[in-house]
Amino acid sequence: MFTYILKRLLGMIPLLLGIITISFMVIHLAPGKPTTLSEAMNPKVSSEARARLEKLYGLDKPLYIQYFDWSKKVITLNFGTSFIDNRPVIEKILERLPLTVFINAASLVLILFFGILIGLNCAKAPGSLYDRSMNLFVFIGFAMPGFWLSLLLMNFFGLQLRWLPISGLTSLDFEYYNFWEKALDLARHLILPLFVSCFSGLAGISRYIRQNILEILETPYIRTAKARGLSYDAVLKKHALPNALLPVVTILGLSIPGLIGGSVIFESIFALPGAGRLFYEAVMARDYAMIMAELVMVAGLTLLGNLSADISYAYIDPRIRYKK
Amino acid sequence: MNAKLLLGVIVISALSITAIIAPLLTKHNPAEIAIEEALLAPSLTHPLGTDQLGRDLFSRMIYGARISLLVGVISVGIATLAGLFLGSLAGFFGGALESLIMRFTDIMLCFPAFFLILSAAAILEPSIFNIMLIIGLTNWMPAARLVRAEILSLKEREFILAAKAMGVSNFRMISRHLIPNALEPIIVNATLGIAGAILLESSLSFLGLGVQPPSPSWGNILAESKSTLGVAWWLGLFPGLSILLTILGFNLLGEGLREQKE
Repeated sequence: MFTYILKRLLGMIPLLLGIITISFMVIHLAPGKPTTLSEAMNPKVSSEARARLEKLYGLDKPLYIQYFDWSKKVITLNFGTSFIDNRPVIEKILERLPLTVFINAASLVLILFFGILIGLNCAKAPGSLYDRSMNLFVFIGFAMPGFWLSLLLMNFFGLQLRWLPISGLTSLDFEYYNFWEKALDLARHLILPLFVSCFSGLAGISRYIRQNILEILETPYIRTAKARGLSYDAVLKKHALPNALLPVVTILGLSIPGLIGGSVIFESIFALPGAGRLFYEAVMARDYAMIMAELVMVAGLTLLGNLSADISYAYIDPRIRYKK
Repeated sequence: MNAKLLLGVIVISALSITAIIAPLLTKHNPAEIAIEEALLAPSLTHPLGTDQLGRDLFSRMIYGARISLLVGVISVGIATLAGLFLGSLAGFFGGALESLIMRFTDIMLCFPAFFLILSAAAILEPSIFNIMLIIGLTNWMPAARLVRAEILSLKEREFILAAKAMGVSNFRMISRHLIPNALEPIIVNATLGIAGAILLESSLSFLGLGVQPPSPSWGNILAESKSTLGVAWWLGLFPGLSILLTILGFNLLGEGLREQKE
C-alpha cells in the first residue's frame, strides 16, 4: 500500500508542473497585456503609470523569464499580491477556501448517501412507479442549469414563503447569537446552496448505482447467494451493493472538477464568501495574479481529490494495489 | 427508433425550426424598447409578457435560441475537431507523442472547465465568436480520449492490416479507414457535448461574461430577471425552461443514438 501511494505521489509531480504552466499560459498567451486591460477600465492611467505597473509585476521582461520567475515563486506558494488591494493573493485565497472545500465535501457526502438510497430502492423494483419517477428526476437533474435552480429556490423559499435567507453566510446580528443559534443560522444560509450543489451530481450517481446493482444481480455469485436461501434484502445489501459501490469511488473523484466549477456560480448567486466568488470577483476586476493563483489551487485540489479517490479504491480493492 | 431518440429528435427539430424562422413567428423586434409597456404579464399581444424595458420576451427568446444553438453547435464542432486531431495522433502513432498528448489531456482535465472558461473570458473580449472558441478549446478532452481509445482498438483489426499491406499512407489510413469507423461514438459524444456547451454559454451569459446585452441570450435574460425576482415571474421562468428543454432534448438525442446502436 505504501509503495502504491508513493508511486502515485511521484506521478503527481509532472501533472502539477503542467498545471502551473497552463495556468500561466491561459493568461499570458492571450493577445494584449493584463495592464492594458486594467488601463482600459480606467482612462486616466498615463503611459508612465503603465510602465511603472508593468515593472512592478515584471511584465516588461521577456515571457519565458516571467514564466520562470512566477513558477519559482508558486512552488513556495507565493502567488504575488492582488491587483485590487495589494494583499498577498495566498492570504486572500486561504481565507475563502475553507467554505468552498466544506460545501464541496458536504456535497460529496450527501451525493453518496442519497445516491445509494435512491439507487438501491430503484434497483429493488426496476420499472416500478418509484423507479420511473426517479428516472425522470435523473433526466431533469442532468439538464437543470444550476443558476436557474438557484433563482427558482431563492424566489420560492426566500421571497414567496420567506422561510430561508437568500444571500450571505450569516445574518446581520450573528455575533450576538449563542452557539446553537449560530449553528442554526449557518445551516439556514447553507441549505439552498448545498441543495443546488448536489442536484445534478446526485442524478448521475443514483442512476449509476442503480445500473451497477442491476448488472451485478445477473452474476453467478448472486445466484449462489440466492440459492443458499438468503433473503432478497440480504443479497441486495450484503452482496450486490458493496460491489456496485467500488467504481463509484472513482466516479466521485472525477466529479470533483464539476463540483468546484459549480461553486463559482452558486457562490456568486447566493453571495457566499468562498473561493468561487473570489475567483468571479478576480475575473470581473481582471486581477490576473489572483486568477492564475486560483487556477493553480483548484486544479491542485482536483488532483488531490483524484488521488484520494485512487487511494481509497486501492484500499477497498486489493487487486488494484497488487497489479501496479 | 427508440422512444428517447424520437423525443429528442422532436424537441431538437422543433427548436431548430423555431430558431431558423424566428422573424416569421413574431412581429416584435427583440431589441425594440417600449418603456410604457414594461413588465406586462403574458397576453395575446405579448405571448410571454415583456421585460423591464418593455421588450417582447417571446421574440427575445426565439432570437436567443439562435445564439444558444449556434454557440452549442460550433463550439462542439471546434472541440470535436481538436479531439479528433489529438486523439488520432496519439492513438495512431503511439510512443512519446502519445504520452505527451495524453499527459496534456490529463492536465487539462484537472482544471474545472468553468474556471478555465472564466479566465479566458476575462482576458478576451466577450464576442460570440470568442465564446465559441473558448468553450471549444476547453472541452476537447473527452473527445480526444474517446478517439484515441477507438483508434487503438481499430488498429488491431484485419482490415487495417490489409490497408497497410496495400501501402496506404498514414494520413489516408487515419482519415479514410480509422476515423469513419469510429464515427458513431464520436457523434454520440458530440451530441451530449452540445447540451453541455449550451449550459456553459448560458451560465457564462448569466454571469455577465458571455453574450452581451442588448443581444438576447437565455442566460442574460435570466440575469436581468434577478432585479424583478418576485415581481415578474415570466421573466425568470420561460428562459430557464427553454434551457432545460434544450439540454434535455440533446441529452435524449445522444442517449437515444447510443441505445439505438446497441
